[in-house]
Amino acid sequence: MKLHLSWPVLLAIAAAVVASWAVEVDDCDAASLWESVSVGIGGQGVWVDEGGAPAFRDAEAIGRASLGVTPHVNLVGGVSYGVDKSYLRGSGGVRITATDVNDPNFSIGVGVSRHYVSEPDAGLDEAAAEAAIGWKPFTSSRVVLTGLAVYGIDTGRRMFSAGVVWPFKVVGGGQ
Amino acid sequence: MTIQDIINRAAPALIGLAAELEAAIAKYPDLAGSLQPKADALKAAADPLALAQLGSTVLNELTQFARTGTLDPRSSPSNLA
Repeated sequence: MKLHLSWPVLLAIAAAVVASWAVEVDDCDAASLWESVSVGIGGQGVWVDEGGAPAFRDAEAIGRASLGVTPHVNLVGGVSYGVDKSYLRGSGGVRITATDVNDPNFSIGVGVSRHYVSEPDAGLDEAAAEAAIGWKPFTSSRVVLTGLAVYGIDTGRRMFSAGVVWPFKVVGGGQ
Repeated sequence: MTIQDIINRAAPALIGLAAELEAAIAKYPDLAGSLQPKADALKAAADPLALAQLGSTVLNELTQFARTGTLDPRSSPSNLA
């Protein structure tokens, strides 16, 4: 597999991930800040708008991170790699989350993120509104089933993903 | 862009995600018992009143955060979606 990735795209993705962690550390409790970090890795399928119904694009390996600022506000960022088509996508933004009162293991998030992609056809390269779900179906497992819908603010292009994420505990931090 | 702007812009994505979930239920009826409540919750969350309440809650939290500088984080499965 050959990865076509320009330096500006790589830098933009790195900046997006770093930006998702950027909080004024001096203005808040550092221990609480670290404990509010969540990290996860996993895999997902991606469907991208082709003018009609979204078409399956690729299976992706993903890495996600979030920083909870308040009970309902999170800074989120992630990178994903197209396993078959060898592209790299990244995003960083803010997400407002709410947990289902009937199921504490199911939550919904809405927000806005800046999306980047190394190949134009592989996804969105613009700011986008998004809605996300996360569901821990098994109480004995940390595995999270995820779903994400992304709508490009400028183009109106749509992208959907569904996958599974394994959250893991960062040393001394949250999960 | 205000908090309510973000929520309002994301509402179509919320409805789109519910539609995709219902399409999956139609394709795999055996999953309806597990997934239909989730699709219903998504549609309920997309209600304008529910979104306005969420916006109000978030505004209060951010005001509190700005005033105290203290984090009050919660782990939420959709953070990592």
